[in-house]
Amino acid sequence: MASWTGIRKKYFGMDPVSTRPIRLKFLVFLILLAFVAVGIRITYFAIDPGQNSVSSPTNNLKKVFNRGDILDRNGVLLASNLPAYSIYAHPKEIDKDKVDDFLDALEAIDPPIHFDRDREKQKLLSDKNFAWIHKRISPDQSQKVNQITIKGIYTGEREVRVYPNGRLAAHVLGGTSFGEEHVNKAEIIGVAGVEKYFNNLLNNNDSSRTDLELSIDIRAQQILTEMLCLGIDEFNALGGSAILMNVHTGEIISLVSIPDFDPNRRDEFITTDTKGTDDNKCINDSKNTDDGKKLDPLFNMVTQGIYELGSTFKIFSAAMALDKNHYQRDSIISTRPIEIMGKQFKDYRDHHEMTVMEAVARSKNTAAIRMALVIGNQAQRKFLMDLGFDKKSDVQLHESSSPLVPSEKNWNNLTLATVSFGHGMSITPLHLASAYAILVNGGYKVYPTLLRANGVEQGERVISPNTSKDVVSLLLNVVENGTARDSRIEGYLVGGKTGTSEKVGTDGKYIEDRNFVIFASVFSGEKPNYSLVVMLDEASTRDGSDYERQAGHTVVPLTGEIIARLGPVLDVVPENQSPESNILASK
Amino acid sequence: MSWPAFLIWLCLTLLLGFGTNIVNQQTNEVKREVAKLIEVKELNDEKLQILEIQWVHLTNPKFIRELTLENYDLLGMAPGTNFNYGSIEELPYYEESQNDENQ
Repeated sequence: MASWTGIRKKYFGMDPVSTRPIRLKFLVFLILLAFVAVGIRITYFAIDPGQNSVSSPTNNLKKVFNRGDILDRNGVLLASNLPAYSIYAHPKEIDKDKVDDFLDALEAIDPPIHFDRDREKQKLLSDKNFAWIHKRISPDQSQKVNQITIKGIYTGEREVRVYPNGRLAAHVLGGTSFGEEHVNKAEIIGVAGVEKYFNNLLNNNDSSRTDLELSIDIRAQQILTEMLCLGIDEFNALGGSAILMNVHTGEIISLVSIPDFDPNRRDEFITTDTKGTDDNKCINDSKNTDDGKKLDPLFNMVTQGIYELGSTFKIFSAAMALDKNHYQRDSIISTRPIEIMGKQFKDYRDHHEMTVMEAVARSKNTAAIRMALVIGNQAQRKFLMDLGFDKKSDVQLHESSSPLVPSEKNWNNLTLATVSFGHGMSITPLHLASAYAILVNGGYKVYPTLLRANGVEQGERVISPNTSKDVVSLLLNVVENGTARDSRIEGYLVGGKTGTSEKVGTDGKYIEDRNFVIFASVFSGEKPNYSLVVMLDEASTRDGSDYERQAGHTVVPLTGEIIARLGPVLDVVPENQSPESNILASK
Repeated sequence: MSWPAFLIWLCLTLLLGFGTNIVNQQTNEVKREVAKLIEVKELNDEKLQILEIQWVHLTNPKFIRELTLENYDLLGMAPGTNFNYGSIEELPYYEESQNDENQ
């Protein structure tokens, strides 16, 4: 047998003795190469340890919950996730004789699992490969389902969205539904509110989960909800809405629309008759809308509802006239009847002359028309568009409506007259709160937001600081001497303007005795930080044998009570005390 | 290469291999431990999340308000309003501290 040395000598002509140094060098080279390779590998791991360690436990780290939490401005949890289970079946595998026994056992589980027995029985008796039985049961219920021994019934893990505050901030949060569903995983998707608007951000697939911090203060939200419920009950209203905004940042501190819904079981409210499922004490069951229906609990009156907001617009006419120096606060203005394009406008009483301040306080239509006339229709239109009435608000909700504004072509003197006192143009209460914020914050534009702001970003100027100051004094005077006297509260200087908006019927005509009452207010003092718009739907109060439907008797005192409760929560120090010497005494 | 040199290299290589094997075993053990810890952490995270939600549910302002209303006769608690503001001069120790300063 030929040796390796012999082969080498025969075929390559190499002498084994003479090639020994070459072999040695070759071996040393190989060993060095191996050391270099190991060295490079070790260095590589040291630089990026996780990259290539296939079996590294950190690679198997699953995110406990995928969808980000939603928090209020103080970090209170508004929406989060909980582990849950689904029940599903493979009907082909099921022994059909045992279906009834299984359903009996399922019905006996405590806490009960709600399901339609007939429908589920039909599914189980079919020859299908797969059927969902229930998509949301608790881990405890799942354990009990697993104890029922029947072939073909399974439970699968998933996560569900929960709203621990229930109805509070329902219209802000919206709700979720299941998207793509597998037996061991279900995608959660936002279907309304911020859940829908920020769906991609909350479902961020990156390794880090993104939580959402809102501008909402859950304490203020509770106060507004509770007080609005009281108001609806006290004034026998159909429903109501309220929005509280920081006038400098545009942050929405609270947004309430009643009737509301429970986002934990939003699906149950997507029906025409919500009476059966709704346990909201606020809803007035004895009252219906003019077409005999209940109000839709999913409808957000603050951002979706557009209304002619009546006399609350008169302050815009005054602000325009003051800003252009056509009038001063104490200028004399006539409140006698006035004719525009053949139509006569007059007030109920006081047909003489008074100061601008008095005219606003007494809510004079004719004075508003006269102040708008000196500006001219195009300038009036531009001013209102600058206040943000030209488009949907920037708020992060898909449930937002665009204002109904007459076109530039149709904006004649008659439009000017009606718009000057809040008719012929419809906006949302959110638009109104933003506009009042602009008027009192020094005249800067604000962009309403549901996200917590880090400081003030000054928008473009709409009115001068002096006009803004004058507008605040006009609003304070409305509460002190005008139509909103019942909102006066000790310690807080409240300003505001009342409004009444008549409802429009299906025939396009105003309906008698059916209206919205609105109070747009700002507080506290000469440099207010908050604007608050409260609106009641068909509110009335009994005055002897008559029903009083004006804002001054309904929504105005309610707003006073709300501000008294909100003040301490928002750290609004009463006017008669200096901030340094104040404490919140636990009396 | 001479035999002694070859043996030395061989020993060194074997030693390196042995050392690497020990380190590898230790690494795997640590990995298993980390995996266990992660599992425990996930479980605790889940428990924590449930407790946090429970806490928010039980302390939500609506629930607290309902409790204060139900137990008003017993506790006399009412929501804070503008009337709850006082000045620091109203506190008894304020006068004492002012007197001390004057003395």
